[in-house]
Amino acid sequence: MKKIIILLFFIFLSCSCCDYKELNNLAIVSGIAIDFDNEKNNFKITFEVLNDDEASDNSKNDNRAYYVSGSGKTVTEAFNSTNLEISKILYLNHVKIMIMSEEIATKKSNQIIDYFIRNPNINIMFYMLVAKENDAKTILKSTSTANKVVSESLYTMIENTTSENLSLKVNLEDYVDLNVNPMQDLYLPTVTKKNNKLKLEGVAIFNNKNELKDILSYSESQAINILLNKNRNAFYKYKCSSENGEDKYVIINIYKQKLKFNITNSNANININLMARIEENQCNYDLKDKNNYYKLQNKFNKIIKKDLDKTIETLINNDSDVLGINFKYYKNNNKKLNFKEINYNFKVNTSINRNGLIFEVKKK
Amino acid sequence: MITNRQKNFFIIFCSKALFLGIGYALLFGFSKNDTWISFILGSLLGIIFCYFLKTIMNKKGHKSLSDILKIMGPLGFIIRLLLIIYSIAVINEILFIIQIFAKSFFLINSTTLLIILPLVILIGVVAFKGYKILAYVVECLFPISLFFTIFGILALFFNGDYTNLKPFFSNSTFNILKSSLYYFTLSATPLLFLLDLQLEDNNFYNAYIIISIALTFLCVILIGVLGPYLIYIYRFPEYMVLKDIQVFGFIEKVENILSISWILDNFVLLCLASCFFKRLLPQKYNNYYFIGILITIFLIACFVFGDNYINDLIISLYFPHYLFLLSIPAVITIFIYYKTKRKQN
Repeated sequence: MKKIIILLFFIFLSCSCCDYKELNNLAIVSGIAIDFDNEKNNFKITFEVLNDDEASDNSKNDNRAYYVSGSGKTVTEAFNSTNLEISKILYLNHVKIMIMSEEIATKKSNQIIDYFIRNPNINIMFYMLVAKENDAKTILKSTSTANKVVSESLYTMIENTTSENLSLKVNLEDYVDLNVNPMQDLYLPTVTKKNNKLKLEGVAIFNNKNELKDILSYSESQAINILLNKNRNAFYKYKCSSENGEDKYVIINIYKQKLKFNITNSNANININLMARIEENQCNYDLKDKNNYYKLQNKFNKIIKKDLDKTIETLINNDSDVLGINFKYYKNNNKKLNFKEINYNFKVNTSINRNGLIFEVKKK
Repeated sequence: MITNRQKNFFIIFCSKALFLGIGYALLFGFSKNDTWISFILGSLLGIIFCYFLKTIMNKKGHKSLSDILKIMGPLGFIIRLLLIIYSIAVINEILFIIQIFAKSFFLINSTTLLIILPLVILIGVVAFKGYKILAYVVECLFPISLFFTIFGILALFFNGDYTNLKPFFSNSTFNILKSSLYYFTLSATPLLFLLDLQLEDNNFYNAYIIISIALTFLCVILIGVLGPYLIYIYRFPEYMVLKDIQVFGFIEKVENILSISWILDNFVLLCLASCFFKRLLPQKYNNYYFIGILITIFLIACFVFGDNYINDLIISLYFPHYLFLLSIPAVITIFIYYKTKRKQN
């Protein structure tokens, strides 16, 4: 009898009934947009909540998500005010994307970090983005036939490795790490809305005071991807000829890289080994001839080196050490360095080791 | 009689248990990316402590610790008191850490009382059953704990950037030495709960060295994955690091399952401490004393320390000090007692 009483006691005490929640009562948040209203000095928060109503199954109702917004003087107040508009319990463990306005990313990042990293109800592995030329809310609410749930679409775009992808994966943990690290500056992917379509743009770079300094161009973002060893698909083209005013190119796709940094107090020697495949051969190089490979590799080495030099110049001009040169030097030498005061020497070695399924297309 | 295998499992569970919520968070706060050096130095001190324990166990023979303390007279009474306070401190701290851990990640809205009560009942039951039953339980729990630990280590190993360990010795030597002492206190002193057991083999070294290597390896992985700045921000770095696990792109969000390993460690130490403490209480009215003290511990854990961040802070920061001051004099006194006794004989 004693055992049965103890057993019953455990059955009722160990089932965590206090934390029990019905799935139907949860408002599952998939995306968060954070803006800052300068006039009212308010945080504005918008949630993209997945629509689980029965009505959504009806073909007439295409809204797979709905949006709720709120504002407040602090992040907590803004979250609470947003919460008041939802009749369900806010569930933030399935957040996939958080979009910040440029203002938030520049000036209010510390408050955001403190709130999110402290809160046990929030999953920290979602991706962070900066809204370029738009409010974060505008981006999050850009639903279309193709993007019924914007946060899911953006998540897929960032994760996509098969096509050209400039975005860097920065989750909340990386964001916090880069924010608290005094020797490496922050970088974030950006998203914009053009012609009513969402598009991932170049990389946003920040300085040591966490101020957004610039958004890098296409080629610079490619170079940053390579230098951070996070590149998945970088495309480089070499103009091989020009016939009747029409330019012809050889295009390669860099699918893998290996980097080695050797940083001294006056120089940063960076050896980059790139693995590439030929995407397009408009000039009909004979790809059975090994000399053509050598020739192309040399050409591309110069093109990529030029891009890398330009990118470093941009970083120095913006006082942004996103590559963590100072941190790398500190790790090896236990001394501080100013990344702006050293010379950068790139040694690029491109290996074209895949040419696709054919050697060449014979023309009549 | 506890078999050699059961004893090794006990050592592994006991040495690892106090690192959840206290050990890693505290040591990373002091010596940051040099914490692994503190682990190695602390392990060396731990090995010396194992030597003391082994000597005491060899001399003690088949007598229980309570009998030995009775023979030692007034000195024995003081040591008994120190060991009882030590056990209570460990039980209280583990209950406290488990409730914070559960309330931070699993049972956010549950009351402290409901989280602690099943544990208190469970340790009460185990204490009445004795060491033998606990040893069987440990044998059952060990493979589960081992599997989760190995899975976690393998899954995280390739995520780490081990240049984060550099520069070596970048933190102050004082902090590294302080961390070493903390490591020693948290990993080795719980082994004194084994003094009361009747062991087949009194060798503590092998299992302690193995668990020290595993803890150091885990420390290196934590620094590698989280980096030198994130490791001291988190309250539970050993749990947060598990969030980064992604095996083959589809095994992810397994942190709650893998953290069971930490809970099991705590559970075993909790039970062992309660058995030890029950046997040190006076024989007369032993059960009443035990139940009374257990209820007091439960009330303290719930209403004094539960949901009180300031108490959490005080306990976490100074807990190794209490453990050190309570355990080391006790063990050294028993050791010296045996050494002098041999000379007299």
